[in-house]
This record gives sequence, structure tokens and C-alpha cells, in this order.
Amino acid sequence: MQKYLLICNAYPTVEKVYANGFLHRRVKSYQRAGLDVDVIVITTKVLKDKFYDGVHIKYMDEYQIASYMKENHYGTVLFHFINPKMFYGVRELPAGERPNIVVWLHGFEAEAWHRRYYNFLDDIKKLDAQLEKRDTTYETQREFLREIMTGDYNIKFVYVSRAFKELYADPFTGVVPERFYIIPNIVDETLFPYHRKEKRDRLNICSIRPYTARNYANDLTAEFIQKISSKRYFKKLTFNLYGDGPLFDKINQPLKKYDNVHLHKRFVPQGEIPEIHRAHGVFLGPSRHDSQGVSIGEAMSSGLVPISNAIGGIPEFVDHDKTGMLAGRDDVDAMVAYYDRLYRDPKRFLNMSKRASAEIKQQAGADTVIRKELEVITSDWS
Amino acid sequence: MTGVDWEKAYRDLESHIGQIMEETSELVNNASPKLRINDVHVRDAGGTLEVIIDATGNRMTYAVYVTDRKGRMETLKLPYQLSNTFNLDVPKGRYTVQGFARQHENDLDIVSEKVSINFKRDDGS
Repeated sequence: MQKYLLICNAYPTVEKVYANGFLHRRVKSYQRAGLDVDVIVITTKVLKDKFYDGVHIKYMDEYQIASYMKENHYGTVLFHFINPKMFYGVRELPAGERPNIVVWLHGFEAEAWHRRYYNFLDDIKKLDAQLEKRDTTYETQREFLREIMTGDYNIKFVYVSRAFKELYADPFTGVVPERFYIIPNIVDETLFPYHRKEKRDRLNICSIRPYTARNYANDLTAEFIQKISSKRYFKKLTFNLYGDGPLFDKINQPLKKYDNVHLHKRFVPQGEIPEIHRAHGVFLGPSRHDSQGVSIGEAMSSGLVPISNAIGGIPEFVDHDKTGMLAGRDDVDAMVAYYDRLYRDPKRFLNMSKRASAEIKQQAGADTVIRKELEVITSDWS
Repeated sequence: MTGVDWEKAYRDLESHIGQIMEETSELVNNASPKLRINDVHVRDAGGTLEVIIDATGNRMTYAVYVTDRKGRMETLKLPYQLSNTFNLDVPKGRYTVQGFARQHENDLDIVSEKVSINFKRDDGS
């Protein structure tokens, strides 16, 4: 039986359940499909092996990975959030003994240094550090990706969206690999089951976002609420904003004067999200940078109608005016106008809710994604 | 192998740069000096304790706490006001005066400084 090895930068454990949880869902699905998968997390610390939900996790540095791969033959190696150190073990193998390789590109590991510029504008030290990384970390990563995309490896690449590939990753690497696939991250319908919405649910609006960086665009949510407060129907609406991070207080300060805006400054565990989804009809998920927009997809799966922005990979998963509403980048006036449309046309809201759930399931549901990934992993190797 | 769609990437990059410039413009236009207290001046002004808070910032309001160092009276807390000058009718004694400056009426944007005074209440009598 062929053995598979997954190498990544972090994997869930009992102590850190949410560290790349989506990788664990994949591994469990591969196991269910009969694949024998081992997991290595690259680390510089000496850590004992851990077991999590039936998965054996080993912690190794690049040299340990190299000697482990020499001693243990794996037919196919799967990489997530790849970097040169993770790949060192493959390089060290003689060309004839190298395994098949699948590389998932999710986001930051294949983007230019300036893409998340908004994270560096509030602190000159952060900005200076990023400018320094431009010529070091980013250049090394770019050269590395170019090399593995064009080198003599039996290698396939998976991008989470076409926009991520064409707008972020391709211009960064400057080359396109010969074999690539567009497969989104899983939006798990078993974790986020659909519940039929009522007309009144459109009055309940929620947001569940980290407040750690400007790309999550929570400031647009705050501006949205301030602008919509001038509508006659504003008092009929209820807002619940969940999340935590250094920007929470600053961004939400102007919202404290509204009785119908409830601020929940806390991290929301995944298990609580379906209940929040159930109590709301509209998901405010503005964004400035997204390769897919998984949290928007999860809300759609539960039957919420998202209001977001047509940036990055989001339009590939939200069909404007059919499964959600997409304003232009930073266009809060359009977001307000689109909500207004939902408010005034409850039938449209109900149809969109139903359709949003059905379409995201078809596009990024666990069955769809795992079937596509298994095909990439197990077949068509030269 | 298909190549990079540079035209599409360039259009996106232009929009990206546009956003960076808009944000830069906002940063430049709204650039205000970092809120700081330069000094808290305290003096006996003919029998009243005068406190002047000298601060740098934008749309500032000022408050003051006066604490009797011997604990004979409760700390006087004067709320935020537009004027940076306070005149306090307090008995003679040794006080710690804490001056506050707040920016944009934002309770997260506050600085304070403490000074001490041996107030003799020289009212000329």
C-alpha cells in the first residue's frame, strides 16, 4: 500500500485545536478513503510526537525530515504552506527516488511583499521590517517557488481559487506550473448545516471576524452600521459583532452609542459558530484581501446571505445578487444599498439564502473538494 | 504550459496601488502629532491652586486629579473640559497633581503626568 506524507507548518493538537484545522479535516477524509497518511510539522524546537483524533503527528526540522524521508519511502508527499526548509528533504533524495509531490498554495506563501500593506501602516517598525523582508524572505521564497515550478520534479500545484492564482501567485512567481488545479478549501456542510431562514432573519445581521489586521476590513462593517443608522428601519435591525484582536476597541468605539449593536469581544470557538449562524440572516464579511473567503462560505452554508466585497477570490464563491451581495473594494455605500435591497425584498433574501447554501456546498463542500483532491493525489502521475 | 496573464495582473496591481495611495493620502491628511503631555504647571495663584496642562495633540480635552499626600481629604477629580487651566480651592498641604489630556474624545487615547506641590495657600492675608 502506498504511503502518503503531509508536511505542513502547523497541525491541530489537543492544546491547539484550531491550528490549521482544515488540514486535519483533509487528513481524516483521506484516511476514510483508504489512504495511509503520516503528518510532519516542521519546527525548530524539539517536540515529542503527538496524537490527535487518530492522526500521528511528528515534529522535525529540515535535517530530520531529510533523514526520515531517506529511511521511509513515501510514494507521494503533500505540502501545505510550503517553504524551502520543508522541501529540503525532497531535494536531498537522489533524483530517481524522489516522490510524487503535491503543493497546496493557500495565500501568504505565494504573494508579493506588498499585498498586505495595510498591516504595516500603523507602526513604522513593522513597515521597516517588511521592507527588509522584501529583499530577503520574499525573494528567497519567490526563487524557491520558481525553481520547483519549473524544475525536474513530478509535481502538481493546487490553488484555492483562480483569482488567487492569477492575481496574487502568478505575478509573484512570474511562472505558471505545468500541472495545476483549482480546488478550494473545504466549507464543511456537516459543521455548518443549512437552516431555512424566515423573512425576519434578514433583520439580524452578524459578523464573526478576527480583529488582528486591516485585511479583515472590520472598519467597513463599522462604517456600514454608521451609514445604515440613518435609515428609518435601522431600529428594527440587530447587529452582533464577534471577534477579538488589537483593533476591536478602536474600530467599534463609534458603535457603542447604538442600542441595537452588540459587541462581543471574544474569540468564537468553531463549535459556537453554527448557533450564531442560526440566529442571523445576513453575514457582514467585508474584506480587502482574500484568496477564498472561507468564513463567508461557512455562513453561506448555514443559509446566511453574505455582504462582502468583490476582491480576490471572493467573487468565485459568491455570485453577486444570486448567492450574496458584493460591493466594490471599500465601497460601503454600495454595501448599504445592497442590504437595503435585501431589506425591501424579503423574497429575494429567502431565495438567495437557499441558493447560497446549495451553491457553496456544490462548489466547496467536503465531498466535492475531497473527491477532486484524491484525484490529484492518487492519479495521473507520470 | 500557459503563461502569466500579465495584463490581468497589472490591472489588479493598479487597483491595489490605488488603494495604497488612498490610504497614504488619508494617513498624510490625518497625520496629527502623537498625543503627549509636555508639562503640568502648578502654582499658588493668590490662594488658589492653579493647574495648567501643557499638551500636544488634536482636539484635546483636559482633566485633573488632586490627591492629598497625607490622605486627609478624598482625591479631587475634575472631569474633562476644553480649557487646559484649572483653579482649585483647596486647603494648604502637600498634593500630587495628575493632569490628563484626552484626544478626539476617545477614552482609549489618553495620557497623564503627575507632579507634586507643597501648596501654602498664599492669599496675601
